[in-house]
Amino acid sequence: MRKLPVIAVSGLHRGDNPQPGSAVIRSIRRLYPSATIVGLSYDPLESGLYSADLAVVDASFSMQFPGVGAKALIDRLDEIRQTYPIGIIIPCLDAEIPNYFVLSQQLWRRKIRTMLPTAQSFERRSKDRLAQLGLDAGVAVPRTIVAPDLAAVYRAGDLLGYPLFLKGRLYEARKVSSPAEVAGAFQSLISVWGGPVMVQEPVAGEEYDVAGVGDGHGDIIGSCAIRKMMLTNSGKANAGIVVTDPGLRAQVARIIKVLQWNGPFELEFIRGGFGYALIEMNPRFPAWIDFPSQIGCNLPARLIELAEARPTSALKACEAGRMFVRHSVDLVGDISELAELSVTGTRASNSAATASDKLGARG
Amino acid sequence: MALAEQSAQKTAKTNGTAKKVRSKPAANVRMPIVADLSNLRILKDRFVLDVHSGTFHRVSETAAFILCELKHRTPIAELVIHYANRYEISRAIAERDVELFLNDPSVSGLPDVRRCAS
Repeated sequence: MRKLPVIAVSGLHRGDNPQPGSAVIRSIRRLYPSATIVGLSYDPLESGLYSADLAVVDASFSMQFPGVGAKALIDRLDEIRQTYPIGIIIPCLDAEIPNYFVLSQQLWRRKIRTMLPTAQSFERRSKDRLAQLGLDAGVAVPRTIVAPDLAAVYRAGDLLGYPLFLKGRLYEARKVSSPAEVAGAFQSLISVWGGPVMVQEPVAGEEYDVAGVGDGHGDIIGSCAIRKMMLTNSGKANAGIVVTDPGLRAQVARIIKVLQWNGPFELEFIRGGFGYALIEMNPRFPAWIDFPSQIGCNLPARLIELAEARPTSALKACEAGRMFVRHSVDLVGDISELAELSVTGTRASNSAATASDKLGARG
Repeated sequence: MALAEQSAQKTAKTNGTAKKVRSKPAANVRMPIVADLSNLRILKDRFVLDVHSGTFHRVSETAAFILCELKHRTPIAELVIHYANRYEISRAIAERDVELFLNDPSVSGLPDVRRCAS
């Protein structure tokens, strides 16, 4: 079978607000240990850069922030391609994806595949349009008001009542218990992510996540649904248990069908006495994606296989009751590695053998 | 569910051996139709997982016994008999225990158990 092309993955930081990149890399290497994988990094202290196990990268490259624009991105990718001819990119940060839409033709000419949804699908699931998506798919969504400025937030608060959530355009949410807290929360979100800010009524209940891959034609290639058992201070899943609720599965299927979604997704729900309410849809894998990979449902590997049109590995249905608990380890690095990436923007693997060679030798 | 266990222990203590007391169900006890609990998985006889919601509960042995019977769609009247036989208690006490279990507010944490028609 022909060798896989070079795969580029971003979002490599773990910690208490983990990004998905390292989990994606681990998943790919579970089935393809000799794959050449490079990390696209925004900070030389992203923890995944120092992995030496399944999540190891063959090389890492510093990138400019997505806000700099698509031209900076394609220029940098062209530099990287001089040494690592990237064939597949898996963006793991929401903020990166619009640039990839802008570059779709240029990426196609360079034979780089991204397995992303259409720009239209991407926009339909954005936070400020989630209510409409809910209507289209027959899924409940908490009342949400888009607020372009502070006055609009106060008006929304009068309408929805307190407490409520202020959500950034791309990331982060702040719980606001009274009008006195609005200004500070609004400012902290808008200064980092820009506007608008979403004002959303709180919904009480348990949190559920569904990770999956859409085929671009309305169907789901594979998925895994969990209830979050433990949360970090930033609301991320620190432990989760697989659920097999036909009602939840049906709602996910309707959303993916309405969007004709292509590529990875993460759907976040709250389940209360009313049933499920859709909170958010993310256009990438979640940070816990390596968990289903370990129980026979390796969605990142399947994504690669689809991109390469190669025979697909089996995807087992995730069995209810399987669970994960997140564990942190200390990774060893050297200041020279940090210095190399900071100064040159590039960091190759430390030994003559590439990281993938070492993993392949281990079998 | 300590009631049945207490009754069983008391019987054993007073008589030295467990006595089986047979009696008809009280006429005024309504026998609800059993609910579907196919989404519950009972583990280690004392642990219940709801595979739909992902919630789980530690329960007493007698509660697990009742849930297991309900999962197998045992009609309540028959469940009472099985329960009485299992714990060697009178049918009246068994009925009361089962009724108390189904009416226990904490049982509402287990979906579908309370969804019985009367």
